Amino acid sequence: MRTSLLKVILLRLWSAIPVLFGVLVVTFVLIRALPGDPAIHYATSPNAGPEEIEQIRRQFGLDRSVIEQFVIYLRELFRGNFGNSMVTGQTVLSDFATRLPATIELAMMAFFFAIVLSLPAGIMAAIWRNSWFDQLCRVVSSVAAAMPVFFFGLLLVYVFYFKLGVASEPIGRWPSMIIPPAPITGFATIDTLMTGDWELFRMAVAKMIMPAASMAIFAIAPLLRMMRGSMIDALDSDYVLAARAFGLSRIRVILRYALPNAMLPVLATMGMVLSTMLGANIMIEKLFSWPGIGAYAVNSLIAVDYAPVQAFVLIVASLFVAMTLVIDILSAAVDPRYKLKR
Amino acid sequence: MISIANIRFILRRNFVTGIAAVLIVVLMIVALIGPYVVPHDPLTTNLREVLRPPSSAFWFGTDHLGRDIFSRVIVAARLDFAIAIVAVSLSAAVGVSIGAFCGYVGGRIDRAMSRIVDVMMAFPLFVAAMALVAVFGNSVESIVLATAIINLPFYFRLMRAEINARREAGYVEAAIINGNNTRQVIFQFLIPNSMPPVVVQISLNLGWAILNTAGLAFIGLGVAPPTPEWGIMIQEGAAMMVSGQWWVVVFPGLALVLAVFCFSLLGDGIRDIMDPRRRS
Repeated sequence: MRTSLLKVILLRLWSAIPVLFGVLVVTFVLIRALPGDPAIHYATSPNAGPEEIEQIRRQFGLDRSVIEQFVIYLRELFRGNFGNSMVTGQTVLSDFATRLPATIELAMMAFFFAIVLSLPAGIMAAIWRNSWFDQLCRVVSSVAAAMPVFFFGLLLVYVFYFKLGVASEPIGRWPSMIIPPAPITGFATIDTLMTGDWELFRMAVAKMIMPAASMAIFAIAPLLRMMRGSMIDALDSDYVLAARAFGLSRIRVILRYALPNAMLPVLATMGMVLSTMLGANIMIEKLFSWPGIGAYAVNSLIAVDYAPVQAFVLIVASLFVAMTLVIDILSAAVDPRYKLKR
Repeated sequence: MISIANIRFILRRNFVTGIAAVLIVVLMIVALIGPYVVPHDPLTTNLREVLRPPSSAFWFGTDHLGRDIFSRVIVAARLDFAIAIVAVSLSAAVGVSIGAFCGYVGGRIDRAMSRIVDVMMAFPLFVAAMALVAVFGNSVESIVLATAIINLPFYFRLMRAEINARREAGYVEAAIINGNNTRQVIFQFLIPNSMPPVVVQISLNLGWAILNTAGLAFIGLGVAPPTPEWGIMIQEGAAMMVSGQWWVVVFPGLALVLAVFCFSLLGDGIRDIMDPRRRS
């Protein structure tokens, strides 16, 4: 089992390399395809003098061949130089470092919401096939699949903030009258837990609920459908029939035999969902003025400040490749077929 | 061939799909004739009728500039559908051709193309669209092109797999023996026989393309105000959701949901009709 699993992991790692390389080529081309002088992306301020531009031009080898430029580009990336933002006046790297935790925190909560809602619902829909619950799930997932995240977010704002007044103000990460605590890790929830400030922790979580719920909406349909479909396949299989014939209890058959087998395709869907979440976070962060990397990238794009945009594209694509890899390896690890091959 | 009775049989068994198809036809007609029949000009502002709730004069109410939301929702349908249809046709035509060629010929070109497509798939769709719009410039044409490019991989992979499964089929051999060249074999025999899954993909894709366009417009890319477009209208109304003027956002939002919903129902329906095994 060990050898085969290790082989799978190595094989997957190996196959991710050309994709990652392609991603680097694309972002490299992107910088040069974007309107404006690439040297500007690395300038420290919008009014950088011709000497500074000339110096950057030499530093990045913009007067040399494309291949050399690409090598220099890789070298700079390796050093953590993603260029400078014209708008914030900071390096893109430090801008991302302060904003990434907010994005990850929000995406994690959204992912958690989606899983907690859709997986049990999918399992129950499969067990009680064609019941009213199954029909309800079908309707909900069809509507959720057609629902734009930003529209759903606004509906939530109207109902829970304006009508019922139970949600906190749908702007930013902290209530406006609060002075945000000094970041330790940058994750609002972890920081407040570390300092033991329960009141702030509650506020941070309250602020996250609406944006996370709106982000979760598009993830519900694919997860629910896949969970239901693969659970039905598992329940109809011979091994479940055999387990039943042995007189095992219904709960045990479902949890011990059907569910692990049904989880495989769901894992693959989770990878896809996480990737789409990186796109949805742009709209949600923009809508809720969430200080994450998505809103940062869009605002830079609209301000014709391209260095953060290319860094965003690169980071998101790399994250995506890494997540796909993890999901692949995880699938291999939980696949019962690998355990059989000793 | 499909007869009237055949269609009736299919429709009776697929009631929901039928309704979705009818609704799409209705939406298309609205998109075509809408601009000529709307009660108000979609661009005329009227500062005496600002943020009126829905009434007999303004069916969907008015926005913060006193524009009639009903007229704007109707007129917007044309632009949103046009962008989606042009982009998806472009994507399907190019993706199917390249995919079919690579699937049939194989070899080095096929491997190279597959690698390129792998890289394209490494970018989340919305992020890729955003980056492409940045490159092409902030315009409607860019949205069309960006939407076409980000959907290419789906058609490429679909067609490549379909052709791969069929290249050894009897009718292909017969076509070759009859003296057809590679291009004829691909375009006259293989592609027509592999079209059903592509049709499903196109229907689903039209819905996504509309969502994508509205999403980009919502974050300020592509279509620009004051053009009536569903995503922009939702963006403009976002601030009013906090103060309770729900109609500014809800009506364009519902139009968007309805359009996307119909296309995805139709796509699922066509898939079920053509392949009973994959019925969900």
